[in-house]
Amino acid sequence: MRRVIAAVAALAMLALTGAAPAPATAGKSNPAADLKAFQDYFKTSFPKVPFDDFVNGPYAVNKGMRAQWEQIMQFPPYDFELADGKKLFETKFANGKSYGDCFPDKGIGIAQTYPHFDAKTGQVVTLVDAINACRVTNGEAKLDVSKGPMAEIAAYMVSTSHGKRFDVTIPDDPRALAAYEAGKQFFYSRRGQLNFSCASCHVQSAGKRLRGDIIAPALGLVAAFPIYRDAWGNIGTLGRRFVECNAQVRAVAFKPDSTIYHDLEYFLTYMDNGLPVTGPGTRP
Amino acid sequence: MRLTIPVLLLAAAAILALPEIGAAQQKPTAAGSAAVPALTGSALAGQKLAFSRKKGNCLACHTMRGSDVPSNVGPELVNLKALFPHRKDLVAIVTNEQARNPQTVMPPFGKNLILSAKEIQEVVDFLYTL
Amino acid sequence: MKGSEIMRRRVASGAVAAPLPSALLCLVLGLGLACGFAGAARAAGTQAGYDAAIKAAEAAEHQAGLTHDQWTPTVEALKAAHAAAAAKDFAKATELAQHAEALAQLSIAQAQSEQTAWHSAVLR
Ligand code: HEC
Ligand code: HEC
Repeated sequence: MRRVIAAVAALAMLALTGAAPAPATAGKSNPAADLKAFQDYFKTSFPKVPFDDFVNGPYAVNKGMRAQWEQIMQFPPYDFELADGKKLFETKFANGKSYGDCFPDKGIGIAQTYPHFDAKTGQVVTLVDAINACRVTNGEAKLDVSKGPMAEIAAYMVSTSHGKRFDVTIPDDPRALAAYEAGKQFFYSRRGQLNFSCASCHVQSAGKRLRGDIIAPALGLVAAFPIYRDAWGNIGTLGRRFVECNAQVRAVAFKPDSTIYHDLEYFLTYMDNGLPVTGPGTRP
Repeated sequence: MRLTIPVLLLAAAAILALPEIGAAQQKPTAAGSAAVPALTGSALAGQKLAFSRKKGNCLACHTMRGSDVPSNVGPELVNLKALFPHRKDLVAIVTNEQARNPQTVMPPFGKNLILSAKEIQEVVDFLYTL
Repeated sequence: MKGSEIMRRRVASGAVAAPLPSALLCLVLGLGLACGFAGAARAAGTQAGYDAAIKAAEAAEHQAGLTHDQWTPTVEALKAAHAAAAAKDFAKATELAQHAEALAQLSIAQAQSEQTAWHSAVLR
């Protein structure tokens, strides 16, 4: 009974804050310590994989796949969409402004700082959010957050950050820490009829073969987004991939721009801090 | 306890993951090897369940005779009569492996109503032919 | 506030599931395909029985939603239950609703145990 009450209380809190409650049993949130343990785990598990290579996901941990990939990359399948993204990014809105006007440094070479925590609103802002916010500010309709023009524009912006390293910050603000903890809890919690957490596959089974797939290690998992996926036949955002990875464990997925996926992206991208930005990427 | 699980996992992952790197070739497996008995009745039904994506989907994680994909999230399933002489042990693993290993990634087929009790018996009949 | 409701549902689903193991079994088996006969013979298949079962199932699924852990097979079973009821096959519809409730209860239990269990998986 007490458990039920606690759960209900937790849910009430969740409804109020829009973020999952910080677990009572956990000590003080310490993202920096988490990051070290997380990265050390993968460095130890895959001693032959150079740190920067983790951004290449399955190709970093499987030679056969890497050879195929190197062939594919002679003509990257996302080239057209990337070019479209540049065009869209540079096209002026009806009011004469353009995307560059919404971002520092005109939006060039800044993707590595997303998601970032907005102290004014108390929200985690992904690059996709920022692109849509820019449109709304300039009187344009929001774009679909999974694919199409959004993924193309994001791909272009990310490409201008090549060579920079992920640098996501979690300020010492209880709301930022709550978002980070909620993302972390989601990553490690089992869900769906098949009873998997993200970690079941991307930590415990990293590098293993699941039917035809090689499971990418959680370190570097989000570093190549947006990605062109053969299974999609076009380019898509991280939210689109989250939906799929939830659905395959027979869990009802959330909306690609839901708060919980924002928190998850915040956690996972923070874990990638120090890795080079490599998107757009290509995957099977 | 808190510490031991991650440490064990780490060790296991290190051991299991290492051979994967640089291993372009798969080790030869029992798949496709000789002496495939013709399955009938319950064991045949069990094989269908084990191979079906919608039902057992055991091939996603295990390599076994008759499979066409080299999965290695779980161990190769072979020689199970010798490994698990007691039928109830095999039934228990398929029903809810988390009871034996809380950190396992193997889905609890019985507990979560993925397979019925009858279906689990059929799958176990099939496993005993491996 | 919802606590007692969860408990009641739990008890209710236990009470329903226990005397009907074969009904549940064939649900899992083929979602009623081969079970038309067994189901019809067992549960008389009344509209009232179905109404109660679907109400319980939907309440449980609503709870699962509050825990942020709904399962797609629950959604599918609920949909199939509604379809069977629309076709006036109340025996099948009732079984599907009971199956959906069992799944929803499992998802709630999973969410509750994960509230603490996830800690043991954290890399540290
Ligand atoms: C049943 C195993 C499984 C689970 C559980 C799972 N994934 Fe995946 N995931 C995969 C496979 C297989 C792929 C495709 C191969 C790859 O790139 O890892 C993948 C790919 C991804 C990718 C793309 C990585 C890349 O390099 O292209 C992301 C991001 C991802 N998963 C995130 C998640 C998140 C977040 C969760 C938890 C909500 C999750 N996954 C749960 C199996 C899983
Ligand atoms: C998501 C991956 C996954 C799936 C799907 C899966 N298993 Fe497993 N299985 C494992 C892992 C991992 C182990 C190793 C033991 C552990 O984790 O506790 C295992 C262990 C076993 C074992 C014990 C083998 C031994 O040598 O100890 C048997 C038997 C088994 N599985 C049968 C099945 C059957 C039958 C199915 C399909 C109905 C199935 N498994 C589906 C991952 C999986």
